[in-house]
Amino acid sequence: MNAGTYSMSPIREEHLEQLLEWRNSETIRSKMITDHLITMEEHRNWFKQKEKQATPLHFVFEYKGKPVGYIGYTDRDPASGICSSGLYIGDHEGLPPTSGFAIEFLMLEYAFERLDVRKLWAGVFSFNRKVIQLHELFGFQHEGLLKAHVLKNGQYEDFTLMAIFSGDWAEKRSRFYRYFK
Amino acid sequence: MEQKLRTIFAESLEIPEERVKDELEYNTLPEWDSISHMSLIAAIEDSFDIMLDTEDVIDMSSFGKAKEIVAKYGA
Repeated sequence: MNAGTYSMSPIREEHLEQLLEWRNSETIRSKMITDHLITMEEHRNWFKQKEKQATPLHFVFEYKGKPVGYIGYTDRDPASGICSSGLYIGDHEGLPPTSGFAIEFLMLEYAFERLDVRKLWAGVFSFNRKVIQLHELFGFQHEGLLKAHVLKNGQYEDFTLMAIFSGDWAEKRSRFYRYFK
Repeated sequence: MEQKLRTIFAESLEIPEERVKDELEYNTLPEWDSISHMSLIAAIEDSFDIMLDTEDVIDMSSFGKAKEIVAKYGA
């Protein structure tokens, strides 16, 4: 799936090393619930499980064909039409400012257009203000707050739950699509 | 316009207004990366009731540049 010079492609074996480097970086790890240093063995086992899925749910986010981030979907329940999502940009070097729009746009577009999701939700640490603002901008609504929910760096952090419905995305989409036409 | 824009920058990037000077540049501080840039753009568009061209979204690489761009839209 493409949006101008940005795209998302299913993860392949060749992406594993770079993805692990990003995932284990302090910048990314500090914002994840699972924040131990992931071994390559663990990472490969994860990939082998995901590779078996009939529908791709884990992607590299690309700028002009070069992987620069990750988009993923979990907790997918087709019967209820729900799914959770996550994303990060691992390599900001030389990326245009529109890349923030692009990764969020593609994440939503794939969920609602290809996965036929009815409701997409996301859990974000409350201290991760930038991602919360990005989600708000694209139409996510706050649905809940899990107070003192996750132990991180010796203290219990709040966890914000947000969600967007397919109809909400249909209304918001045109505002952002113009940047990639 | 300049003070209004300064306030927008400070609120969107969650930095003190004193740090918002012409030399403040995109991707030179953790608070202003491609993720937060989008919130900044949206706040500018909503506050000044303008729709920025993609080229201007990309070119808005500093507070000084932002002033020039927003002025172009008659704000």
